[in-house]
Amino acid sequence: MSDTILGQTETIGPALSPEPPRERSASLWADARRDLIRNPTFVIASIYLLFVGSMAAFPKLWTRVHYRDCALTADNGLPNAKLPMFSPGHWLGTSEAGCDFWSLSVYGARPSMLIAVMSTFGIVIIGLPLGVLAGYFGGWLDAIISRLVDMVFALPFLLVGLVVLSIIKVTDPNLRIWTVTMFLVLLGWTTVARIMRGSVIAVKNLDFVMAAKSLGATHGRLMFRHILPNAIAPVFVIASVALGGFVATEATLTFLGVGLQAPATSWGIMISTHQPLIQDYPHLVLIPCTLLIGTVLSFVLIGDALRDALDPKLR
Amino acid sequence: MLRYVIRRLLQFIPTVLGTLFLLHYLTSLAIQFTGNPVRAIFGDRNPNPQVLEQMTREFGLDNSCLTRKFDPCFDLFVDRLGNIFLHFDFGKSLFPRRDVTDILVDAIPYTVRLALIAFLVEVLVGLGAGVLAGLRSGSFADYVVKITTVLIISIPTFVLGVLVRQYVGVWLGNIVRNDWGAPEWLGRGVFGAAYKPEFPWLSLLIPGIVLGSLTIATTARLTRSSLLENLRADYVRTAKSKGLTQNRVIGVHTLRNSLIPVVTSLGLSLGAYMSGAVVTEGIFRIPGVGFTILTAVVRGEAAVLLGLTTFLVLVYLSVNLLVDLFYAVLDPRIRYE
Repeated sequence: MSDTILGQTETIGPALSPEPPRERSASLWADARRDLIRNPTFVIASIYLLFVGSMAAFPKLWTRVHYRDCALTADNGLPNAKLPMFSPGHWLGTSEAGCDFWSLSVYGARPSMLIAVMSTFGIVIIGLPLGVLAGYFGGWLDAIISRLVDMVFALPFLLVGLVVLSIIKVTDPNLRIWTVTMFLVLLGWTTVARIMRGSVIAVKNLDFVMAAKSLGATHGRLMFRHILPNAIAPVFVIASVALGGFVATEATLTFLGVGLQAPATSWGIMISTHQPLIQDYPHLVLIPCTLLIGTVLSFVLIGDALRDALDPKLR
Repeated sequence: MLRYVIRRLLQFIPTVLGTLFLLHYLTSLAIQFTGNPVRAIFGDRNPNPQVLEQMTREFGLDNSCLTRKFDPCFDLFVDRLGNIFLHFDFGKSLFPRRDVTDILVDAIPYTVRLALIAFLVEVLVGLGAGVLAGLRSGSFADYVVKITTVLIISIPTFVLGVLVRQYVGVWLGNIVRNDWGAPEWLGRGVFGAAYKPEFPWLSLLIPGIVLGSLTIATTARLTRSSLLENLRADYVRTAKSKGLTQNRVIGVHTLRNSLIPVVTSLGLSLGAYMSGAVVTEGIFRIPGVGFTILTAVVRGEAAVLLGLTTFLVLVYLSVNLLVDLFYAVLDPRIRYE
């Protein structure tokens, strides 16, 4: 099977780039990149995330109306709330409070994406070094870190979230985003630490590490120059899945009333404020649901694609 | 085996204490930084200081360490542990004035029934789909299972719950009730937007499926990959070359070994149900433990919330322990490690 794939590369290769095609490119990452850009699921999911990400980063790119420019009655005196889709001026209709629904959806991307990206960043910053240390040194350090991981891992996310976040009375929308992020990082870093520990243990006794060690490399050099680059691949898979998971968790916490709160906007807030109206105005619930599911789905699919591309056993 | 059990039990004790301490410290920190949570019960009203003080005491939150930032509150923690393990006391609720343990006793049967339905659905559908996809890998059925599981994993439980309640419970339910003239147990029991006390099992069927859906997908994927891995193993080739029938090779040799990791995952999904139950019970108004937790959130009864969560964490840890022990029974490699 690998022969046929190679054959294809050789025929397509020269047309794509002036470089001569290389025999099964040496590095894992180059192979993975080649696989990924040919994977339609990965490409489509990335394009969708680019769309959502640009909404979160530059909402003004997608809408000129601010999400808090709301009016229960329009200038001509007609009611402006809960308009159906494709109304003049509001192509996705208006919300319960007369806000433009498209603009709400665009601005709603920011809190979800911000929390997901910052939390994922946080769990990698905390989990990666702890996992490397536990895996590399073993012994009592490993015992302590692993026990701590077990304890944090045993705390159910949603339940502890309900307790802790309902006690914390921070109402400022920006501070609330930070609070939720901090909480997600505190309970979420264990997955990265676990994966990293296992991955480092698998790599640390390989020949090239032994070679570097016998040349007198220091612990730090061994860990970060030799082992880490060869052990980090699974973290990318975990991070991608975690991004999707955090988007979902934020929306769930918000839905249950302890995450973000109105007047801020987020997809979770949109779903929970409009769900009593689902019978008569289904689009007010279905639109944020679609955006939310699309985002989580894209992250999960990218995670799957990365896992396949980075697993040398599948080659 | 006995040595393994003893070692595992000895590990269990520090894990329980550590986990409970983390939960205690997280809530204490939250209180230390944002003030007395009892105030939340009064909303915007300004409570009488004496009433506030009295209520804080009854909730067991009057310890002065809760006003000092970063104080780990060890004495409060020891008190709470003593109450839990010596007196089986998880705190008190004020509205209505009851022990949390009594509230739990009332609520648990609903949650257990819900979890049981979810578990059955998970085992039947998840295992079935996984085995089907694993045995015919690359076929149309495999493809369908793969796409469906990715989709289900990507839909947050609360979204699935809200959509199912509306489009299965209400919309489809109306068609079944009005157009088909379905009997009472089907039209009102199975289909409906909320739990009905007169149908204690039937009206939990749809919420149970929603609760089980997330873990159905994980189980199906795990079964498939585990089966695929084992089908390539040497012992399967040996079995085939001995001339055993296909049924025997698959049913006796491959499946039994492939299902070992799946059993663990099934056990751990009981933990996922606890979090999931909060969402499903809230959406379908089932008066179980999850619904009680949500009520405590709305009322701002932080102490009740802490008691209920502590109980669930203990259940979760015990289930994990049982799953680990069961795993060692199934897989001898674990216990001789």
